[in-house]
Formats: sequence, structure tokens, C-alpha cells
Amino acid sequence: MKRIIVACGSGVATSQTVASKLKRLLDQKGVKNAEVEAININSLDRYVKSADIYVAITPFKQDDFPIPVFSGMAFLTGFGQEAELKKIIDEINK
Amino acid sequence: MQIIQAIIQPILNAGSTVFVPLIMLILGLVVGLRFKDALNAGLLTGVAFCSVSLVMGYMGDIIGPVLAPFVENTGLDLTYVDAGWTVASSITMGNVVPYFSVFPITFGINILMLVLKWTDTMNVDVWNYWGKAYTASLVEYFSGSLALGLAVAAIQTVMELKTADCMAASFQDVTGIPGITSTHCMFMKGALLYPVDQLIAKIPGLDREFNIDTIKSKIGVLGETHVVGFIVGTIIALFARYNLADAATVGVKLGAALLLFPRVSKIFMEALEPISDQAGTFLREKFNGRELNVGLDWPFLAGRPETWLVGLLTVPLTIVCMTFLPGNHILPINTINFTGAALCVLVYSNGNVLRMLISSIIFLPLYYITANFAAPALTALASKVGFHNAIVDEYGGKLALLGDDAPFWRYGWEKLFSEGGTIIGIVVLVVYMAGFIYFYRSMMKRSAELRAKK
Repeated sequence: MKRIIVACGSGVATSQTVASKLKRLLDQKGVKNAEVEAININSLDRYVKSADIYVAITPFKQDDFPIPVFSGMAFLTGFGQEAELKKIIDEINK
Repeated sequence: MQIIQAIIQPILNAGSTVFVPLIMLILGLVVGLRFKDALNAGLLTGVAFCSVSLVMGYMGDIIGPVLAPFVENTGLDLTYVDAGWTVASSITMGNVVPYFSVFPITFGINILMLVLKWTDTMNVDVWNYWGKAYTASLVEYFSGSLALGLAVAAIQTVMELKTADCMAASFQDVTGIPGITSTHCMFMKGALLYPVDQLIAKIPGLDREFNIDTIKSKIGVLGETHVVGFIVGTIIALFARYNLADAATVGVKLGAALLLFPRVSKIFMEALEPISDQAGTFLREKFNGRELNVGLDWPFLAGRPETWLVGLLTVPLTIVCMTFLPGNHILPINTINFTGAALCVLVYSNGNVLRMLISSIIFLPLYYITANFAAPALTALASKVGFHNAIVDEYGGKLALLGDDAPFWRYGWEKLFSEGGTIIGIVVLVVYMAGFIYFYRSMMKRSAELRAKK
């Protein structure tokens, strides 16, 4: 089971929107071995240690994180969503 | 007619717990969800409502008993508990008629303005519909008229879209993310913050670089809500002359409450997400081919450490205001670090920490004044939708929202419709609208300059 975290300012609204949507899209693609959790960005350092994938809503540098980071913006705006989803699925199935 | 009443009356009597899921189920079906998904969304909304209410009750049981000894031992009359925006949003969603009326109004205005080319923003942030419903609920409380409340919510919707239009290029510049903007009501207050910031910017020597990354790692722990809750709860209880063990117990329990609020609030979002997705898909398909900005909630800025730094630097001022501001009753347990002004200034100052800080210092007392004024209304709303807790019911306190995102806008309308406040209300709203026009024009000019630079 791969653990995906999504972070926003409170862990309530934006991150949960992306988390719910990602979970739904993964279900539709038949990807069952992943769980998605919305968290507060101020708790990110703690969560990164136990997660496998981080989906960021803010601009990021991959080098700052020990785990692969993907853009959550595509899931909010809908643009480039399929491409980003595919990248995440590839990472889950690695 | 009697049959309809026989069906509807028990549902109305059952209150928000049943009514909210039912309306959400209907809304889900209206936007084209399958019955199974709509039912799930409806139930989740009810579950979220009950969960937040439960944590609010728990927090009331912890903080309620501390209030009287705190007041007695400190001489500070602080009985308005700052419940935070997660509670305010739940209460608003429980206020069924304004909340669900705002859906067609907000969505309809957006489509109308897009068709007429009065805006280039499509708002896909259904979550923050609550911000408009909260304004409507407050105006209804003070004016006694739901129609007036919804009218003000409609004006707010237009202003949010205009704000999103004029700030889009600045959001994109500061984040580097193309095609986005924010329709969150917090940026509307640029109407007051922007003119003030332009004056602040004239002070020489504010353009200083800070080594934020080193500070960031230190802020980390203090940004976690349970840590804040523990520290604040323990200190309040110590001032109430609890012994150390009892005070720490209050601290840990308040930490639990503050950690749980966001955990249970996000259940609302799980329910709203499919509806939000439908709305976004609809807008994208309808206006395909036109270059539009996507209006989002604010957190794409959450990665900027400047905001959290300014929040931390404002902690002493929060406490000074709490203690010395005349007429203050608010115990700021949820807004101890104040970021409301900083987030707005961040966007047009390119993250200038000193400008963000000075604005925060100037505006924080006004946040206190407006939140004190609105507290009785929020408390009454809470009771109306069935949010019972010991702070209000047993210990004579009230609920407050210090971190209100559109405090001056709402305050203007609240005053306008309150007894003896009409003149102040008019003055506030006139100043606000004048400021808004200046803000809009200046930001449009800034947008043109940013686009030219590219």
C-alpha cells in the first residue's frame, strides 16, 4: 500500500479536494494499492517521513524532499490532469 | 398541502442534522451525480456537521470552566471564545436556507459575468461558498431580512470575481503557476490593505532580505495546531490559578480539540468534492477556448514561509490587543498567530516581510473590534443551527471568529443594519468601496506591467 499525502494551509479544504479527487480517479483506473491523505502543510516534515508520494499545491523543488513530488495544481484546475495522474500511477506501480 | 406539510414539518423540526444532508442529496442529484454518490455526499455532510459539533462541545467542556476563574484572577473580561473558521464554516453550512441559496447565486453570477465578459475568472472553489453564506447569515441576523442578506452575498460574489481578475497576474507572478487566481474573500480586503500598504511602502529601508529558510524549520512545530492548543490552553489555565498538572491537562485537551477541528472539517470537503468537480467541468466545457483564470482557494500561497514568519512575529501583539484593547472580550485561542493581513500583502509586495508585518500591526486591532461586534451574531447562529456547547449554555460566554477573512466588509453591513450604527456603517462601506475601486485600478495596472515584463 502506497501512502500519498496532499498538503495545504489547513489540511481541510484544498488538500482534501485534491485528495478526494485523486482517490476517485485512482479508483476509476483500478489502482487500489494507494491511500490518499490531506494534511496541514505545517506538519509536512513529520508526514514526509512515513509517506511514499507527496502531491503539492504550492510551487516546489524536488530536491527539498526525500520522496517523489507531483503537482496537485492539475487536479484543481483540471488542466494537465490526465498527464499528472499517469505520472502518479506510474510511481505507485514502481 | 397538508400532506406536503406533514412530510416537510418533521424534517424541519429535526434541524440541520437531517436537513443539511437532504438538501445536499438534492443538490448532488441536480448537478448530475448518481444517486449513490449524491446520497453519500449528503450523509457525509451530516456526519461532518455532527462531528464538528461534537468537537465544539468537547472544547466547550474544556474551556467553559476555565473562563470564570480566568476572568476573576486576571481582571480581564475575556469570555468570547475564538472558535476559529472551521467552526464558523460548519455553523454557516448548518444555516440551510442562506447556505444553499448561495449556490445558484454564486454560480449564476459567475456564468452571467463570463458570458457578458465582465470577468475572466471561473470560480471552481465551491468550498468557499460558505464565505458568502456567512455574510448573508450575518446580514440576515442584523437586518432581519434574508433577501438583504442574499443581496449582499451577491455583491460580494461580484467583488470577489473582480478581485480575482485584478490580482491574477500578481498571483501568477508570486507563485510561478500559470492560469490561476484566487476567488477567496480574504483578498477583497485589499480595498483597505492595499492603500495602506502603498503608504507603508514609502518608508525607506523596508526592502530587506531575511534568511527565512532557517527560521522556517523553527516555525514548523509552532505551526502545528495541537502544539498551539497545548501552549495556549496551559497558559490560560495557569492564569486561572490551576495547578500545573491541571493546567497541562487543559492544555493537552485543547490541543486535542484544535487538532480535531481540521480533521473533522475535511469531511465536509469529501462531500463537496464531487459537486465542486461537476461545477468546474461544466465551466471548463462551456467556456472552452477562452483564456480564463481558474479561481481557487488561497492555499497555493501556503508554501511561502514569509506568512508564517509574520504570523509568529504577531503573537506578542495578539496578546497585547487581547489584554489592553478597550472593549475586547475575545480569548484568541485559534488566532494566536495572525496571518490574515500578511497573506494579502504578500501578493503585491513580493513577500516583503516588513511591509506584511506593519500591515498586520495596523490591522490586527481592527480585527479585534469587528470580531467583538460580530460575536453575538455568531453565537446566535450557532444556537439556531443546534451547535450547543457549555461556553454559551452554562458559562455565559460567546463564540467569536477573530480570524474572519472579510471582517471590514461584513462589519460595514452589520453596523448599517444595527440599531444606532447606520452612520458608521455607511462611512465604513463608502470608504471600503472607494478603497476597492482604487485597489482594483492599481492592481489592473500592476497586471499590465507584469504581463509586459514577460
